[in-house]
Parts: sequence; structure tokens; C-alpha cells
Amino acid sequence: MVIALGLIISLNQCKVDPKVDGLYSGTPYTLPKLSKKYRPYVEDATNPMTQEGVQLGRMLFYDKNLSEDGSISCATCHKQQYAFGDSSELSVNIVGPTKRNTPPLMNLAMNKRFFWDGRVSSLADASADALKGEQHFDFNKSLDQFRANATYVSLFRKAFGKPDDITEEKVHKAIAQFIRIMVSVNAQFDKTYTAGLTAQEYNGLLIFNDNYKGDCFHCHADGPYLTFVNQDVTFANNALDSINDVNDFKDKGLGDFTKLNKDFGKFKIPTIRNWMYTAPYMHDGRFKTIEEVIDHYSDHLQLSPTVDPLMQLLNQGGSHMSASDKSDLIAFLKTLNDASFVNDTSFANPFK
Amino acid sequence: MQVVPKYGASAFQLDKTITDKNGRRMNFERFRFYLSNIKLVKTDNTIVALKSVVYLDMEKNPALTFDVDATSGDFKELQFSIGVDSLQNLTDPTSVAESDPLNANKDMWWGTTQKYVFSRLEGSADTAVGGTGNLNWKLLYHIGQNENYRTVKLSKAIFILADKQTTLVLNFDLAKVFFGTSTVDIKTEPVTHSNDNIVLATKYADNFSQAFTLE
Repeated sequence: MVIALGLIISLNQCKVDPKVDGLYSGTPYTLPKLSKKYRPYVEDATNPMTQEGVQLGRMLFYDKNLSEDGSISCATCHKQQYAFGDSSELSVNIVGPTKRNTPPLMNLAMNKRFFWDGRVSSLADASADALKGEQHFDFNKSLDQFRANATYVSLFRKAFGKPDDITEEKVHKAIAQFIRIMVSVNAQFDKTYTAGLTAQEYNGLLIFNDNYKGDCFHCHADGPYLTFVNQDVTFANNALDSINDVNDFKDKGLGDFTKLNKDFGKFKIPTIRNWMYTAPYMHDGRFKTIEEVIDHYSDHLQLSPTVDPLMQLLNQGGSHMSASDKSDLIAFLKTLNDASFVNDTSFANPFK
Repeated sequence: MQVVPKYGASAFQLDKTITDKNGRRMNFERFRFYLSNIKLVKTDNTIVALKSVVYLDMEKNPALTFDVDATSGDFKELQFSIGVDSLQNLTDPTSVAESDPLNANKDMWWGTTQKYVFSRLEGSADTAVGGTGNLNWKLLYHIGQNENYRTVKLSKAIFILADKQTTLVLNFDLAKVFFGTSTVDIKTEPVTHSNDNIVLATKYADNFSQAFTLE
């Protein structure tokens, strides 16, 4: 009897109306295939990408209903014109400024740790953290608005299948899918590599790689890859502040997360790609121009207990580059800006 | 196999302050190296290759253990080299699997000219004898290039039985890297990337190869 009943139930489940079921099937999304010059994407089996998931994520990213008072969206701080960073020193939530500069969003599909202090290791968790942690946000109101919107209902169904409830987790997964498509690989240096550099730019590249001049490569190169961020040494104290005791760091950075003294004052090493769009610089936005950044590394390194050993000229305050070396270095760095990324309409506000 | 890192008689750990025999304090936060062409020599002089290359990173694998497949037998010598050999050094780090010791994700490759870093040790010191201040003196030893490839041969009677796991313990004494056949002075010789200070790199590579003993 029990067996017969089970048979009936399973037969019923086999009866599928193809028209209805189509509501629940998305089209897989494949990230652009990159050459060996780029670090491979980090696969995320927990969040398979679909066209609809990406589209949904893009809408959510720009939707101000994702804030407590309907006043801000992800895009309020992560502006495409600034490579999805912000021009203000500190990011601002609905109650006021946070303590850190908005990190730009690009090539994060190749990253494993997120935020200046690396406190999360998936983009969906980063979305959850940014919305709830930083923005002190209550989701229920927003979820109800999405549930009442036919376009959202349809996209949630196609992106995530059954059951078709609209949940907070799905919101973060969709936003993560959209952030994964923000791939920037069309700077001048990507296209022509060293062959396309002028004499000045080429000298700048040599300075970038010179231990006793720019010495940028130890943290900002990525071995053979053109990602321009070291993804092995992920966090470092780059000698910004003169501090004697680890407890005196105004912002403990990675140490906020790990609670280990050795991590106090360390922050995620950002990519230098698209720097022209991402000023101001550093975790607290203290430097307004690239010249100030280079002057820091060249001339103003400060002693503190956790400075990375890769800051090898710490004791003499830096490498003290000549003015022409600095300008050659900047000339090279300019070849790392990708105008197509900040103008790519597939990342733009879908509501406009 | 296991490499047991020591500093003199004490265990060597990352992020733990060491005082050298001159009373100078130091602390290391990264220690990584390649061992390659690991072999055992039988008592009848037959050579059994155990592993072509292994990457050891104390941050990710503090016990510095790795597995090798050995045949049973009576052996008299362990051989291995520090770094990657000249052929391995030609590997394109983007063309091997992510799990391969030579993959670019290890951050042990300089570029097409200088190729692989054989060993990296990075830390900080207070060079004042008996000093109590912060460790503001940066130490960075990045050793590579084929001429700094060193082979180590350690004699010992080793018996490996069939169907039984044997652990070969290789002691590594970091103190000998600084106070070995030559002295590497952390005050006057804090940094080498090999090509910029080949004299120091050579001395360091020699000392490094003499820091191993079989337990």
C-alpha cells in the first residue's frame, strides 16, 4: 500500500507542463574566456551564473529599494565612472560615513578575499555584509517590494529555479553574479603589452619592477598575470603611519577580522588597474592623487610594528626616486587604465 | 617526509621572535622553498626517484610535510636539491595545473628572465644587540637562478618496509643559514633578490644547503 502510494506521487511529479517549467529555467552565463595572461576565475559552484541571474543582479545593484529608507543602492558608492569605486574619501551609509574608502569593483571573479580587511571570502557574502553590516539594513521591506514586482518575480524564478520564494540569499547571489561579470582586461597594456610602450612608459615599467626605485611589483604585480594585484600576499601594512604599539593603529584592518596582533594595520592590497578612475587612494582615502601615492612610497614610509618585509627600504623612508623616475612611472601606470570598462553599457544602470 | 624547521635547538615558527647568538631579535613571516629531484640511494647504489619537485610554504603547511612513494629496501643515502632544476626552471607557470607546485599561484616566479624563486624568507629584525625596540629592519632573501641550485646528499641507513608508512624526518636549522660556513649578517646583508646581490645569494644558498640533517 505504501509502495503504491509512493508510485502515484512520483508519477504525478513526472507530469510537467513545459510552458510552466520554462518559467524556472535560466540560460547559463559564461564569463569571457581569457588568455593565459590572466589569472583564472575562481569557480563558485554554490552560485552558478545565468543570464537572468546577472540581469537580476544588475537591477538589484542599481535599485534603491535595497536600502532602509530607499535612498541608496550599491551604485551610490560603487559608481561605474570611478571603476565602481567612489571619489569621496570614505563611503557613506544611511547614517553617515564609514571608516573606509569604497573599494572599486573589478576582476573580483579572480579574487578570494573581499573588503579592505578580507573579512569575507565569497562575493555573495560580501553583498550580505555590505548591505546588512555596513548599511544597517533590514531586508523584509525590500523583499516584499520585489515579490510584488512581476519582472523581479520572473527573473528570480529563472535565475534560481524552484522553490520560487524570493529570499535574501538569492538577492546576494544575484548581485555576486553581476559583480563577477565586471572584468577589466582592455587597458592599453593588455592590448599591446611591452611592445606598445613609448620609451618613457617602458622606463616606467622598469622602475615599477626595480627593487631600488618603484619596487611596485612585489605587491602590485601578479607573477605572469596582467591582473596587477598580488593575490598570494593579499594583505600588507604599507607603512602609512608612524606607530610604536600595535594597539595604536586607528584602523586595525585585517586585525579587526583575525584579532591577531601580527595582522594589525594590514589591508588588502588593491589592484592598481584603473587607478585613474579610483582616486582617492588607500583604505581611508588619504591620498587624493597618484603623485601623493608615489611620494609616499618613494619618500615618506613610516615605521610601525607590522610593516611588510617587502617594504625593504623602510629604514631610509623609501627609495627616494628622482622626479623624472616618478613621472616615467606614472606614464607607465597610465597604460593600465581601461576606459572601455568604465564605459561598458552592460554594467550601466538598467533603469535608465 | 617532513622538514622540521628549527633555529638552533628550538623550533622555528613564523611570527615568533627569535634571538640570534649575537643577541639580535628577529621575526619571520614568510618562508617558502622548493625541493626537487628527491631520491634515495640503495645500498647497492641503485637510485630510486621519490619526487621531482615539491613546494613547501610554512604559512600554509607549517608542519612542512609532503608525501612521496618509495619502494621498500635498504637505503644508504637521501639526495635532494634546493630550488627547481634548470629544466623545471623553464616551465611556463600559467601552463601547469593550479595544483602543480610550479603553478603561478604560488607566487614563486619572477618572470621569463629570472624565472623561479627557489626560496624566499622574509622578516624583520632589531639589529641592536640586546635591543628592545620594534623590528623595523626588514629582511628579505629571495634566492633563485640556476647557479644557486644546490644539491644535498645525506648519508644514513634507511630501511623501508613494504606496505608500511615510513616518515623521513629532515631537520632544517635556520641558524645555519645565518651562521654557516659563511656568515650572513642581518645588519649589513638584509636583502638579496639574487641578481642584485649575487655574492650574498651564493653565500646564502651554500649555507641553506648545509642546514639540513637527517634525523
